[in-house]
Amino acid sequence: MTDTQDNKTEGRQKRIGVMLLHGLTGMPSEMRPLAKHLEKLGARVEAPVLAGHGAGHKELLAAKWTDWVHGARKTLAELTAECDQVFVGGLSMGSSIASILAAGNPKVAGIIFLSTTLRYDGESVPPSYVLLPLVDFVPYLGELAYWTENPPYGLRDERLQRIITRSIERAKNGETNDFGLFRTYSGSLRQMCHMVRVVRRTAHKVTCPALIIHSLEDTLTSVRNAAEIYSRLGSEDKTVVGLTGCDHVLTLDLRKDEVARLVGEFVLRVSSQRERAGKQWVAA
Amino acid sequence: MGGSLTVEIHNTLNPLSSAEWRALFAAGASPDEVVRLLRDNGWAGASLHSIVVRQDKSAVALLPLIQAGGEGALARALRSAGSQSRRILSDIFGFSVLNEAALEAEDCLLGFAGDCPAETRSEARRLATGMLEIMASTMAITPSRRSELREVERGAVAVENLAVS
Repeated sequence: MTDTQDNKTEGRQKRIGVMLLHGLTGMPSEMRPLAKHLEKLGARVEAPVLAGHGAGHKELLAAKWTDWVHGARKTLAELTAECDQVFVGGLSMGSSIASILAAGNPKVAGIIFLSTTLRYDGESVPPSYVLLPLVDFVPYLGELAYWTENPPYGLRDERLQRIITRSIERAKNGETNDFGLFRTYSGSLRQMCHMVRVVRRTAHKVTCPALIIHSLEDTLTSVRNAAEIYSRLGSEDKTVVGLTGCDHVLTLDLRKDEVARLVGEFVLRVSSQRERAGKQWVAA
Repeated sequence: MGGSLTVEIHNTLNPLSSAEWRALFAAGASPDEVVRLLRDNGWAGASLHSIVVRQDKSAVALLPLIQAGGEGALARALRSAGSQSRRILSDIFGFSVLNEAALEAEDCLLGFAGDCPAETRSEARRLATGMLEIMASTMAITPSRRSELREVERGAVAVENLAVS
């Protein structure tokens, strides 16, 4: 359904809004190909910079998980005020924020989980990850211990890997670049863990249709993360799609077009279903 | 050999069109009959899922799943079901029970597209059963997860054991 005629409600343009949230240490640029596809379908897309992101490590370490959620909630409120139907989606940690925002929120028409991250359990995660809870007892560690991302950076696309390597080399040590930060301090990771507890506790309150996409070859977070969120969601309409031939950063990697197609189809399907349901309700 | 395979989990027994279903379960019962049977036997607590493997956009395999609402509920309901009901079910389901992540499943319980090449069939089987194992271990109750699952149960979904075709 790409015809704009299909997106009309009673003579005026039906407005579909989609908020896309990037991952931890990421940037909105990682959502760009997906955003462009959704815009082509007629949706209005917002991809905010999450709190503490877009600068350096100091700024990111100063941000709490509640700041990430608060900033995204603000963008969602603006989008909701201007659109008839609003979808939320995110990549990796962004999908956790989307889940919190959708829990018990009837204004959210649908949710998209891309590379859901409830735990880092992929093969490229360092064994020292298990020591992360120590940060709660020795907060100083949060600013000392870090995890540096190395190739393949959660990507199967070798061309993109080379571009990122060059970009990192150009950037000053620890400073951000177009692709975000490639060093994740344990303090920020621990914030994410605290947020995930809330996601697990509240996921049953997410009742809108849900699309969960995950790579079967994800080197950072295994597809178990997708199965877990599927089992926890309260949605009646929920689907997991497991892809091969790509890695964690689904929105940029080799199957980004497939990901965009799936998300676009989901948004249009749910949107038209809601529209029909709304009309029936008015008629009754 | 066609394009890449994808595997999907759906929250319904049959996410496919009737034509696609017939292509996978040519001689089997329709999913509607199964749903009716479940309803008639009082399996209110059961939830239905399916694992679909696609090549490009075409379904090449489907594994229907029943998630039972309580321990032993599936066996009790099977005993109380009549012979006709058992026939309908056995067309599609072999009824292995997943409990505490112990998986029992057989290849014959998967519906395959008739024109599916052997290589694709083998890969589809691997993907479907792999996803089934992941679902099983994710949903199975273990002492450490019991309290969390109880909370989910209050929300809507009962996760105690998983019955698998």
